[in-house]
Amino acid sequence: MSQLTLEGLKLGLYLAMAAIGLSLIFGTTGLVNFAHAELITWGTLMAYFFNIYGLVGTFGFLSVLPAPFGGGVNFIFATLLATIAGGVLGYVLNRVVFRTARNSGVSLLAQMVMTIGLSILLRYVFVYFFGSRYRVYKDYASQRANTFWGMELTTRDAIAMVISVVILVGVGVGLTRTRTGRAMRAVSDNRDLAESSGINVEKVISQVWIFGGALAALSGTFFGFDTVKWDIGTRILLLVFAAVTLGGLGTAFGALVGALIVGVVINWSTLIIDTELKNMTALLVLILALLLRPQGILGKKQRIG
Amino acid sequence: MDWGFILERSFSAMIGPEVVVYALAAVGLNVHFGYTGLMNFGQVGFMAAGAYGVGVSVYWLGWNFWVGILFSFVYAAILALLLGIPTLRLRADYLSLVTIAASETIRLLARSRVMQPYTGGVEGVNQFAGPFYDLSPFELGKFYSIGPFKYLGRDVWMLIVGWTLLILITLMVRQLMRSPWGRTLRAIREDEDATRALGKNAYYYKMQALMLGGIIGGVAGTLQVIQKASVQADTFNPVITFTIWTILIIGGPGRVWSPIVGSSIYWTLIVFIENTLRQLPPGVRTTLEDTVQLSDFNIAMLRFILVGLGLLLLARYRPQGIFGSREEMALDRR
Amino acid sequence: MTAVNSAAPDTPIVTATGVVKSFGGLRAVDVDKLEIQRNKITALIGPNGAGKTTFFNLLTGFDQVDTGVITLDGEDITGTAPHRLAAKGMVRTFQLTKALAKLSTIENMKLGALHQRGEKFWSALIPGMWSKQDREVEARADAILQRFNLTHMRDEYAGTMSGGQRKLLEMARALMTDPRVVMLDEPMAGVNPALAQSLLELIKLLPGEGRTVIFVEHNMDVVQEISDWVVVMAEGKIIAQGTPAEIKSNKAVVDAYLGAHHGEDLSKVELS
Repeated sequence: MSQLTLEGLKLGLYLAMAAIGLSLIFGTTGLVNFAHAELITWGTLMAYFFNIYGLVGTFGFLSVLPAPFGGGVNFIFATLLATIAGGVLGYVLNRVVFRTARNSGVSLLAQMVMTIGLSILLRYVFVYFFGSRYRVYKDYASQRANTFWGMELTTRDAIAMVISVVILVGVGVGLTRTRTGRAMRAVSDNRDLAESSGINVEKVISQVWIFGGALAALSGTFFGFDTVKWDIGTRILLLVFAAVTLGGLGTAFGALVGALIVGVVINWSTLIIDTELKNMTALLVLILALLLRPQGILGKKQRIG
Repeated sequence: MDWGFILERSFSAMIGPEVVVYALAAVGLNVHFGYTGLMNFGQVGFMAAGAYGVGVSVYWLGWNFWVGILFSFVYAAILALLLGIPTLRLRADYLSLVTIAASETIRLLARSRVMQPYTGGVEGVNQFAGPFYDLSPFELGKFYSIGPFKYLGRDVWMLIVGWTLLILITLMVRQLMRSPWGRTLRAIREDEDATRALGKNAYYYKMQALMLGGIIGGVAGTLQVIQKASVQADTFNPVITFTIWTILIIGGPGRVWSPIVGSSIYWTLIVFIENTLRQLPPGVRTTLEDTVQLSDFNIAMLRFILVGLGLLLLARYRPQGIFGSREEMALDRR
Repeated sequence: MTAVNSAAPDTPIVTATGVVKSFGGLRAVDVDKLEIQRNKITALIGPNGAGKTTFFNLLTGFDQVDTGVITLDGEDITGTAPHRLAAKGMVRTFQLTKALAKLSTIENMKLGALHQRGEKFWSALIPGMWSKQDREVEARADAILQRFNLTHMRDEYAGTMSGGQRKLLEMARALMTDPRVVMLDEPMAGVNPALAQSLLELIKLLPGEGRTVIFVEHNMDVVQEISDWVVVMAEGKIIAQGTPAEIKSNKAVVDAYLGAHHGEDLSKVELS
């Protein structure tokens, strides 16, 4: 049971990083971003790429230089680069695809369909270049688990969890203490009000996409510990949706709470149902949340219909 | 390059089995979204309901094939009820999340070890479509061709049945949408509150639309598995749902003939591109494989890349599709 | 055509008793007793935040009361859904006009008719089952369109109409339900003076058809011109009721809301 809780917390922490970005994007733009799955996958693919190849993988002429340009880098550095790559992709997607759509008056529903098209496009471009087989990182690929208090955890996972906690705490502090963070929450909460109090909404949206993209990429890196695959994001996207809906679409802290609950509940559910079906529990959580409390745990009640 | 082969494949694809199946599923989605404004992202789930309706009836319950077909309608209708009762009061984007979650739940359940005795698990159900093909006046294994169109006998039979069904159902939908019932749906799509104020029970109408579109989706699924003579859970994945969406938007949501036209355009295009690429001279092929990684596997991936790109561009620049008019801006709800 | 009123002619057609609605800690509506006389035009006025819109939504079924009873012609309609209220003879329009843009004008109108056989799924499949009734509905719709001077837009998409024409359409469409009670939510909002006059004339005809009108409005000139009765709300409560002349000279109301401001948009008047 405690092992399951530990697994649940681990899953929850990783999910939380992906979920916060999704929640804030919804809050600030009203958009349910289905392409978030690909931001996650991007993270793990980038980490793999930098770990194994370094930039020389694409730009062959760089081989005369040392790593990270000439060859693969230490995994930790690769993760850092992957996170940055995530922020970059987030920025590009917003700037190139969605900001122009917003400015042209494309409806929210049409934009949502756009995110789906984008998601499918990116996913299959990924599989096109990356291939469909599973791969693993060069470093820290397989470790023996440490045992303590009757629970097992690899050193690598432990460190990743600690990093996640640190990052999430940092995010929490950033959202409440810094001006940027507060602006993000203000716009997410009530866009018109934030705008009328002088906040540059477009700038905040851009920041949210960068921030969300970076976090999603980082979470993808951690999800890739077991295996690196082209559809890793897709497979957990529904878990992320469940987390965000449960916690409240549009609130960052809700995403965190929702993610932890989803992570733990999924793992506990294996006590009752087949492990094969454990992700289904998340879907049930999603459906139940929408029925009983559509605004989520921390969300505000909206006038529906 | 065998252009003859490419053209034969492309023309055959224009009215082939995939076109019929996907067009039918798109007709269902058209009822949901095109006419009523329901954001159903789980149409593949309704197809699975129809498919497994037949499959489970024959495999587990041992029923007659034709009874199984009837049961597949019931199954799709029940799914619509289960989905609709709780969700039709929710906002559009919430409905989209629930429908995608539900369709994935169906897929995961159907392929699971737990459900193996009922659904055949990962391997699914095979060898159940005999009774359908027994009725065929065509020799199943023989090729028939007229001009550039060439099909196996079993497919000719399926096409005759399929196209008849497709046209009949399309005409039925056309009739419905021209009636006061259909008018109420279109009003709900635009403004539910206004429609309620005029005495219409919006919830009830939406449920009926959900059931109608869902059952039509079920018929599509049933046709598909009859054609393949196999029911497999993993074929009912979300990318299929979004291919159907792309098809609907190509033609234009809310127009009677969109599903058929969109489906035909999509499949002809895909088959043409894939076959042309495959037919490229070996020298060109190897060069392409080295430079842009255009392997055999990747040619098959192009289809999905195009769906994604197509959906993205259509939603952005032409959400009203071919038949829609600019004023209608079919994806604009308010 | 005239509407049918079932109860005795002097009893109120709509009543609200002990109606309370709170949001969070705030009491948005707190109405002890209100009686609306039948076949009269009653105005509901008050500054922004007075609770008029909330009260209006409660009466028309678009919101649920916390406590209280609302009756229509003696029948308890508290908590009844809007679509059922329409069948009982109460129809409402919306402040932000909801002319259905993607339907033509005549389709908008025909939508308003109640009890259409063609609106049932199975009947819809067979045109023969509803085409005759449909023609009758269409004739009725054309008659009303003529009264409202909208016949020339009959087959155009409502989306191509001007704002004022859409207002007219929404009211015309509401009349298709053959209502006993017509609830108008700020009917003059955003309407130019010429059109406002036509609208007023049309509203004045309604009591003669046996219909009761209740409307929310800010424009005091309009209220003065067509109301038989004025109900003033503030902070969720009814603070005064009377004929337009009485309200105009009611010192408390005058001090608080009208003063020297008659003819001005009440929303610009400061609360004292």
